[in-house]
Amino acid sequence: MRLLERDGWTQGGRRTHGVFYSRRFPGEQFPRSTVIPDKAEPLPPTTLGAILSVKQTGLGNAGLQDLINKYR
Amino acid sequence: MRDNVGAIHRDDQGRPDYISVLTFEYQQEAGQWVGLCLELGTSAFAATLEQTRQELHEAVGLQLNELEHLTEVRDYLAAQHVQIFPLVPSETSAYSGFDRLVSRDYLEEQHAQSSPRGYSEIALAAGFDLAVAR
Repeated sequence: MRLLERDGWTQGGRRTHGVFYSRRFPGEQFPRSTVIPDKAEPLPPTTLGAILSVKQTGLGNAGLQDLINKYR
Repeated sequence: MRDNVGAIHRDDQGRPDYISVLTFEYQQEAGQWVGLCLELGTSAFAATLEQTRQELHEAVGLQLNELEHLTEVRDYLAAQHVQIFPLVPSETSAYSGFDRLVSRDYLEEQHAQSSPRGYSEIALAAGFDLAVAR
């Protein structure tokens, strides 16, 4: 979640188990959005893959690695 | 394991005006249950299937309701190839909350009965409830 915030994603609402993030990208009709589970446990591969998928953040594994390299 | 889930949209006066049909898929992964909304890509996980179901409903509800502040959700859902069934005003009182069960047959019946006026009355958005058809 910290990586997304540093990359310009805006935090929205929060529920018991998740936090909403969104970000608008130039040339895209809709904002990208995701809900990140707010848990201490590591994300299972399916959940991490979903967050990185084109239906949510669109970052992909390479994009996540770029964020890690850039902000950590 | 899959659930068909109807996300019931309410207009600014609290009247249900359309249902979008979503598919929630669940599987076990490394000792946990993981849920995924196939159309939106939203995912949740927990120790039990029921907890995962509850958390995925919560996550998808959060995502849809937050998106309402940011964009035209109906257009967004259409872009994700989500089936949308407008509800005609005379039928909307049948839906009253989160736990309302809806079947695909009922949704399709509603779709068949919808008039152009029903479409045009979809107006300001005020929230989504989710209901499961099993």
